[in-house]
Order: sequence, then C-alpha cells, then structure tokens
Amino acid sequence: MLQDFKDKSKKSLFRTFKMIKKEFRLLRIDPWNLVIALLIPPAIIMLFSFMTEEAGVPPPLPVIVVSNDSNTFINPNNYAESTWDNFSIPYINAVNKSNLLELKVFLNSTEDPYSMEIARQELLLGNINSIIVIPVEFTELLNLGYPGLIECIIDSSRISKIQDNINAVYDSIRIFVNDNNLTPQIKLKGFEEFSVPPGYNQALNANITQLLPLMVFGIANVLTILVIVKENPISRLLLTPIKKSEILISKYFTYSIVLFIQDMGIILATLASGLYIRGSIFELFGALYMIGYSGISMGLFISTLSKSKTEANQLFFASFIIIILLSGLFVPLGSMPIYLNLFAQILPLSHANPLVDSVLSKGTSILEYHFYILLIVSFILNIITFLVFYKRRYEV
Amino acid sequence: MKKSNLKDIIVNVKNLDVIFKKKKIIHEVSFQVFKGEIIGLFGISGAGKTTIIRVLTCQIKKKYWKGIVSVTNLSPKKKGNHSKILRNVGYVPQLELLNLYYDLSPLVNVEIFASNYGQKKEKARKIAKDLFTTLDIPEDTWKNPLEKLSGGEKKRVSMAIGLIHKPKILFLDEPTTLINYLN
Repeated sequence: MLQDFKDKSKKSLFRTFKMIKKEFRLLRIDPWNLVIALLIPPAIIMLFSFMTEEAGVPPPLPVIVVSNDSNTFINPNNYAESTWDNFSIPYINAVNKSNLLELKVFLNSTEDPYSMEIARQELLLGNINSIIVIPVEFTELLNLGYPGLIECIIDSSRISKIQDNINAVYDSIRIFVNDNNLTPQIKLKGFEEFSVPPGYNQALNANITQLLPLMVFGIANVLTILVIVKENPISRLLLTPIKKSEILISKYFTYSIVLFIQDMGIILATLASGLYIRGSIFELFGALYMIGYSGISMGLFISTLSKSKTEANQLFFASFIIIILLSGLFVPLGSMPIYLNLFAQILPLSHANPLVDSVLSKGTSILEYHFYILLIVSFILNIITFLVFYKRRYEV
Repeated sequence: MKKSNLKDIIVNVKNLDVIFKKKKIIHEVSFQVFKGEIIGLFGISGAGKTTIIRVLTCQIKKKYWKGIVSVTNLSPKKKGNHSKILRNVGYVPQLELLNLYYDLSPLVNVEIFASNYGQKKEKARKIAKDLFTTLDIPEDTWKNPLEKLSGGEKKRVSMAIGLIHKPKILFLDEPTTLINYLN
C-alpha cells in the first residue's frame, strides 16, 4: 500500500517536472512575452526614476490676484468710510515669494472694474489654477486687529488638485503673516515622521507605491491569461496518464519562477534608481512576490474560465479596469458605498498598495492584514481555478 | 474473421447510447474487437464515429452515455479505470484536431507526450526516431518546428505520438487524410 503510494507519487512528480520543462520550452518560443515580463518592469522603474529626478519639485501653480482692498469700505459701527489698501502690495510680495505659486497678473478692481471677469476668463481657459481675491475690508480688518480674510476661487474640475491649490495659497498667507509681523490666531508647528531622507528621490518614493503593485500585478496577469486557453494540446495530453492537477501545478510553478526572476529585476532596478526603502529589501521582495502571485492566480483563473483567446482578453480587460477602479487609487475605499467597499476588499490591488506602502514608507513587517488577505484571495482563486479546470470538458 | 475466444476480446461495446442535451447521438451500437484484429467504422459525416472513439478513450462523462463498454476489460464508466485504460490505448485524432505543439519540433512533441508514460528523454527520442523512420518522416524535419511540416507529415508525427508507448489498442480517426499512397 505504502509502496504503491510512493510509486504513484514518484510518477506524478516525474510527469509534473516534465510538464514544467514543457512550459519553459513554450515560454522560450515566445521570447517577446518573456522580455515584456522580465525586462519591462525594471525598465519602467528606471524610466520613472529619471522622469521624477528631472521633475524635481512640482512647478508653481499659476494664479491671478484680484484686489478689492482699495474700494471704499464703510464701517458698519460708525459708518466711517475708508479706502485703505496698505496690505495689498505686501500680500502680492508674499505670493511672489512663495515657491508654490506663480503670479500671472495682479488686477486692482478700482482701476479696472472688470478684473474679476478677466480672471474668470483665464480660469476658464486653464491658464491659471486659482483666483486669489483680496476683499474690500482686508486692510481695515487687519488694522482693527480682526482676522484677515482672503478669498480663493479654485478650478475644482480635478478633485485631486484642490488640496494642492489650497496648500499653495496657505503658503503665501504664511509668508505674508511672517513678513508683516501679524499674529495668526493659531500657529501650527509641524514635525515630520516617516519622511524620505534628503538625498533620495522624493517624487519617486511618493509615486512608486502606486506604480509597483499595478505593474507587478498587471504584468503577471497578462503573462498568464492565455496559457491555458491557447494550449490546444491539453485535450490530447489528457488522453495520456497525466492528471489535470499536474498540468495546472506545472503552470503555477513555472510562472512562479518567472515571477521570482521578475521581482529580482525589479528589486535591482529600485536599488539602482535610488528608491528609499525604510523596511527590509526582503520584505519588499516578499510583498511584490505576493502581489505578483495574486496576478498569476487571477490570470490562470481567467484563462481556465475562458473558452477562447478573445474571451480571455475581454475578461482580462474588464476585470483589470474594475480592480484598478476599486483599488483605492482614485477614490479611497472608506469613501465608497459599503457594498462597493466590501467588494473592493476581496480584490487584490486594494491590498497591494497598502502592503508596498507599509514596507517602503513605514518599514513595518509585511506579515499583517493586507498580506494575509492577498494570500487568502489568491488561494481561493486557485481553488476555483482547479474546480473550473476539473469541470471543463476537453475532447479530441 | 478469425476465430477467437472471449478472453481475446479487447474492446467490447454493447447497446451503446450517447445522449447530449436530450438528443441521441449514438443509438444502440454494439461491436467487439479481438486481439490482433483491425476493424473500421464507416458512416456518413456526423454519424458518430468519433463520438464512439471518445467514449472508448474516456473523454465523455458517464452521465452522457448508456450501455456496456469495456476497453482491455476495464469499463470507462469507472473513473479509477481511466488512467489504466489510457495507458493501454493510443489515439490519433482527425487532422484538424491533431492538437500538437506546432511551435516545437516533432522530436520534442514526442518527448512531451512520452514523458507522461514515464519515459525518459533518451528512451523517448530513440523510440521516436525509430517510429519516424518507419513512418517515413524526413530526417531533416525532425528538429524543425512542426508548423513547417506538410499536413501529411504532421499526421504521421501524430501517429508516432499515438504509438510512442506501444499501446495494446490504437484508435485512428480518419487515418488516411492527407497521407499519399506512396507513404
């Protein structure tokens, strides 16, 4: 009995090993596919590194300042009229001093009553990002010891840019308050934690947490979506003593090895590009490997489920778009409706970004919630793939 | 027909019905094949010749067919018998369903299929070369990608794959397609 089991296991291992060899042969006859899988990811990281290195700090945001300060202000307490504008020019100086803002034009509404219309037209044309308005009572309020008020009209068509514009305007206010010895009601003192040390490419670090998971998952997915559906001889192989499980295991094993080599290339590229990794490099490798494996699991699942290459491509495209949309890259998971949030929790990329971020920025261990969820999701996909493959009818 | 006793029956089909989606594809087919015997199935297109071979080679699930079928005294109805039956059976499909690795050479193709019977590379190559010579496949094509071979040569490589494990029974589906009379 035991000997019989041993013999069967030995034969099964032999067949699986030969199938792995066959998979590598098939990979070799399609070298471009392998080049894309192994060389493109490191090349993209290097390209990204050069791109962000040249970019340096983000360019200042173009603005127009419209001042209504010299317009007549009537004090509601004593009905006294004033046209003070002592603080308009100092504020313009502060805007000019700020590295985050680029003053395109300064318009004084007492000289040109259509100042706001001109500024709005520029905003509409996309020549500026925001209009900063100094209101009528600006100097008067500051002189009387009240908090000053600056109005800001932002191009809100791109939601992700709103905060950048507000931050830039705040920067000019900070400079204005400091230069003119004004006392803000609350002073904020910030301390930096987990920041990228000087000498490293900050822009690369800021963006690579999104790029790496997307690239590793996407390429692993693309690499495997056709491996079962396009292999017509599977039906004939099944007329030999080989088992369906051996065919599938050989595919998982082969593409896991490809993934291993791919991740090694990515790690080397990240080191060469000057990426700051707070955690261990092995942790980063482990995180990328897990993300890539979930991509392989997804790819083989699609390949098993599809009846034709076109169907596999369509299914890949549809699933990839949904996975990206619900990954938290565009809308934070917490902001989504609860049903979408729950659905997003079972998608691989939703966990891939926090996993890479935790290693790169925080230096924490990968063996936490996101890693285990990715592991479970991959495992469930593997089980479904095996079931679908077992149920699938192959005829010669 | 030579006289044989019951022990020599290698394929036994009795009252075989194959039903797909309530449509009877095969109706009450019965025949026996004895050791050393060559038999041919004749019928119009769509008569179900390939379907019968598919039942005998364990490709059709038992829920789709009825009747008594045994191949080398083993019933394809029992899943545990599939591996044993397939070890004893060689199958050469129709030309359009050859299902070979067209980007790989004939030798590598044979090697891949032979490995599933536990044959090592050297042994598989030796048998393959003998079969290729017997089947008159030109030697200069043995290491070329299969896609560059003619239809007849592909068919003969497919036959070699069907024979690689020296099966007790060989099923040939439309074996003469594209094979010229000289071969």
